[in-house]
Amino acid sequence: MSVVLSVSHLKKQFLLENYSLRFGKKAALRAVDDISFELTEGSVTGLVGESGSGKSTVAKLILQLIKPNSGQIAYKGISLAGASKKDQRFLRREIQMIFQNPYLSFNPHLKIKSVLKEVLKAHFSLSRNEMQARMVEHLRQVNLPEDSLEKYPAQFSGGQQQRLAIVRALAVNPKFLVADEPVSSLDVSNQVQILKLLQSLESKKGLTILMISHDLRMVRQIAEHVLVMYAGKILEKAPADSFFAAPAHPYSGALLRSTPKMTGNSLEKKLFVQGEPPDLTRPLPACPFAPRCPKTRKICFTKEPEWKTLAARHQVWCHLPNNSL
Amino acid sequence: MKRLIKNWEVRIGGLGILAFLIAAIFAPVLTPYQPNQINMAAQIQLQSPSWQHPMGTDQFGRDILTRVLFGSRISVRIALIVVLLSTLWGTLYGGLSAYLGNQTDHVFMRIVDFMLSFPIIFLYIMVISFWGNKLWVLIILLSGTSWMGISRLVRAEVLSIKEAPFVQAAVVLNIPRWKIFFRHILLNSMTPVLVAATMKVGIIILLESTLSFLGLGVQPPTPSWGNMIANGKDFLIDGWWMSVFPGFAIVSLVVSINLLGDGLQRIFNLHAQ
Repeated sequence: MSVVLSVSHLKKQFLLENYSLRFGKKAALRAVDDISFELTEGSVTGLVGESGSGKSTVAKLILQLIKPNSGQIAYKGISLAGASKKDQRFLRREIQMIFQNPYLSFNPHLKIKSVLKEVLKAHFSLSRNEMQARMVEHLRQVNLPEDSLEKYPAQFSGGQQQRLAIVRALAVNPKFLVADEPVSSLDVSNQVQILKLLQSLESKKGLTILMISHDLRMVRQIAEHVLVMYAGKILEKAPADSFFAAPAHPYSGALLRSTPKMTGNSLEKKLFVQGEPPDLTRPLPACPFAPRCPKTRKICFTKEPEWKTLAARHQVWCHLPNNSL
Repeated sequence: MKRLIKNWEVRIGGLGILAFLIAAIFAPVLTPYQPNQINMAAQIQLQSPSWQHPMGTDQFGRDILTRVLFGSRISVRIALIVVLLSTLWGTLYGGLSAYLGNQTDHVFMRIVDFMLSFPIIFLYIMVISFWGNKLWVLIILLSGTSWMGISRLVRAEVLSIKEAPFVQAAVVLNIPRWKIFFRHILLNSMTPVLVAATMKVGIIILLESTLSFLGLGVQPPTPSWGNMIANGKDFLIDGWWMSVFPGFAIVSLVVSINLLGDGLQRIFNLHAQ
């Protein structure tokens, strides 16, 4: 299987306003700090991590909503940074995104019809009838009735809005979909529905999906690969089966165990990761997770870990991965 | 729409404005006199309100009611044109400033600061003494000095809306930039503008009256509410009706407009929740 998207040594810093009374440089927040990964065609990859770990920044970088400070993103061999106008049009058609809050991702003053028409006009030259037929067909794919076209976004439920967002993204026939927490603002029954829809689209249309989530249960349901992010770094890359069977990084293990489970008649309450996520404007130890890690040794603070390959395509960025103990 | 009519502020304000509009449009039909019809007969001059002259007459025997009615034509027309021009310009200016951002924004906003700190009455006097007080000079002057508030308002709105997910979605979907600006960003920042523009009508009517009162605005014998008050100030004791009725006209129209503005704001705020 071929590589669709390759990211190498990507870095993004945000300069924060200096609100202190002392003069000085603006503080830089390292949202994404030197990450590399590759996505294979037609797969679903889950990008997981706590809030503030840089997941959404990765999405915005891929969608070119913000520019990286350094590093490369290439889609099907085209580097995003230096793309020509023609390539840019191609990229905007091929790569689409689904947002966390479906309601906020729609202009509240436009009917669904106007939204979809605008999208279709921007990419294809269609006659009136063709346009209408396309819109109805797209809606049918997600089980929404034809009269949805005449309604405003606020007239739909959360689940329906997210399906509309999917319709809008798919209207341009993308090959690669970035879904930024696509279900986290929905209730549980809708979550399953949307995940199933994404899954069926992946298999029917051969879509490649990067699903960003903090919820490992969601990722477990549909992802074939997992990337774990922490403090702007990627800690573990693995096929989903081997990740959920035996997470190698101590952080992955803790994350997995912290998913609430109903055991007997009480909810498990134990915290598996102590402390708070680090302040990304301050210098971090060689391994950013070291201060919170249950297995820390001296080396974790002084020497950057290296990538270790444990099994087929299962890699971990840690001095002391679980399997080696 | 239903909610618009149900709101009492909108209802009363709207009715008041409607009454003034009708008065302005049908002024010639509503009164048997001409606004500049001078009647020097001693018993007609400076007559207190009576059945023939419900608002009395001035020192030239002109009917005050007639002049108030015709004066509304000038005042309302100037106010509407000025508000339209300054709102359009202010919206575009503030919107572009925020949308383009960075250096453009800096330069644009410093120009606004400059305009706001300029002594405008001085500017009025200077310009009017240069070009004379023709109607178009007055309109350009008033529009040119009243768009800054709107542009700051729009800028603040656009700054927050341009980061909204639906704008990012439009960027990702390759919607042309001008469409993003007008359809997605400006369209969604119109609510406060509508309210501010409504309020502005009142302010401009007051400003026009002030200028006319100072002798810089509409020139006699053409009646405007401002110059009628100015004219009446010399007869405040013997002919209080000369300034009180035009003043009452100004106050009731401005109050109607502000009521409408407040009502609109309340409705839009409810709508937003």
